[in-house]
Amino acid sequence: MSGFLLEIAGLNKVYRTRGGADFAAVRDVSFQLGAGETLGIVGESGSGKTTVAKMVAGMLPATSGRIALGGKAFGKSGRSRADKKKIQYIFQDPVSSLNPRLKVRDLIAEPLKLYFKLPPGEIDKRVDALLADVGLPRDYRSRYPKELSGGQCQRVGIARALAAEPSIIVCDEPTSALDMTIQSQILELLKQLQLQKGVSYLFIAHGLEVIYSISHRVLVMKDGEIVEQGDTRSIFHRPRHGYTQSLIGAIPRIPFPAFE
Amino acid sequence: MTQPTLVEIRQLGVRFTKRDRHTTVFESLSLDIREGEILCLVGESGSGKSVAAKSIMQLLPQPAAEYTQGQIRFGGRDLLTLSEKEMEAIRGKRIAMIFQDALSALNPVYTIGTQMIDLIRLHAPSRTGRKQALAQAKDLLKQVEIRNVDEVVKQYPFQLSGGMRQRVMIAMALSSRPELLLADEPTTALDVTVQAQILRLILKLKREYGMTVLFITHDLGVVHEVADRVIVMRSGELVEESDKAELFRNPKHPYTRQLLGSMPRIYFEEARP
Repeated sequence: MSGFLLEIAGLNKVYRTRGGADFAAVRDVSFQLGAGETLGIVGESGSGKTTVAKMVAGMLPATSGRIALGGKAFGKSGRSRADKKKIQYIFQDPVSSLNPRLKVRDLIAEPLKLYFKLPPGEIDKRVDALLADVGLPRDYRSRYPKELSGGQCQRVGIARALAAEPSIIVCDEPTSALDMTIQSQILELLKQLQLQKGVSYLFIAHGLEVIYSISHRVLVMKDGEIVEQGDTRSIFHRPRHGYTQSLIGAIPRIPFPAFE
Repeated sequence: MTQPTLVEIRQLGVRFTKRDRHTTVFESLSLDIREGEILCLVGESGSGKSVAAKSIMQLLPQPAAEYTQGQIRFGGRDLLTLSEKEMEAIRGKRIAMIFQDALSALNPVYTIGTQMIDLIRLHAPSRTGRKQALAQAKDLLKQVEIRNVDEVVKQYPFQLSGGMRQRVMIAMALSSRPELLLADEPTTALDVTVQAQILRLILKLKREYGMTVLFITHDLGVVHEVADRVIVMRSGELVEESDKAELFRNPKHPYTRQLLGSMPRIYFEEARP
């Protein structure tokens, strides 16, 4: 029994193509995620990072491999509600991932009703607490998603994920659709929430700067395989694999302005 | 040592009308694009940077968009006073534009070769045969550093990678030897290594052909790679205008500082090799 919260071993995802040939979207991926830790997954389009994220979250069945949470492996036949509750997901597109016909209050209440047996008054109290957690004013509870900005919608998405009181949140490019200033606010919020609640993040992004700013450890993927993993500083400052070196080398380098 | 001005935008006002509701994009926008420079327009969504470029091309949706005042001077004439027919002699010829989404900008049902031949023959001054046009197309593809040109001309857009499609777009934009290239977030949809290649290509076009580029982006990292000068925009207003080096060394406007400060950055100890 190791001390890791999440253990992935030999994970594979194979698609059968129309020609009958097999295409391995994810090949023999193994990694661990500790409690309260952020593991960043970087890679270019088609590298398999989202496929890994979806398999971890139980949204996509793996072809083979082991996914274990707290020492207990998930079975092939789907996950129980209690298992689903423990791993939540934040999506890239904050607006279209919210039901447009529900008010913010109902969007956040949904997971509360699904995972907990609560009296109605308690649900309201928790919705308010979650709004406060993600930095939204209380009166936003009666708004619809279309009345919110992209950044505010993502805050609702984060509140929904937190409502389940998960031990892991899979963040799939949560800031890629947002403006720069909003992006940095959301990253700060995620970091803060991690400190407060001890939740772990599996954080997917193609933006290397974002990965650098939030991850404790980083996993680099290419063509469905992990090419390198290590702590963030060593990946960015001393990349060993040729592919990681070319990725890091392609980042525009900006000198630090005098005002900092 | 300031170069002559290629485009002068003076007190431009643009507003959109939808169901009798007006939204003003620019009250009064003025800016210059100088010959041979790469001018970056930076800003967040809604800042008006794309509307500025589309105003020059007069590609704003009609009749929703209205020019309420001002001028856009190019080649001694005010583009806003030209007829559609006169504008057609400029749009896509003397001024070309490339977009973020190269896949939807290309026709999905024709091969790259066919699309390029049609375009070249459209711009050609006299009768140009298909064979001759195809040879020109291949030349253009070579200029944007595509190696297997004989294959690419036979392919459809969906068969190409994002980076290749953007190269094809640039090659098509170059076909008329434009004086001005408007590049609207051309690398935003691309992976970082491919982005670096496209940026190097745009720098090469400037260096070798003296092309003037208006480069629109929200990414200050990209600005740092390509810009000569930078204009920062917010809600339809010009916030700061400066040389690139000066902008990063000494940003003056609080909003520019906020933008720079909000960039997640990697603290590299060593300089780029």
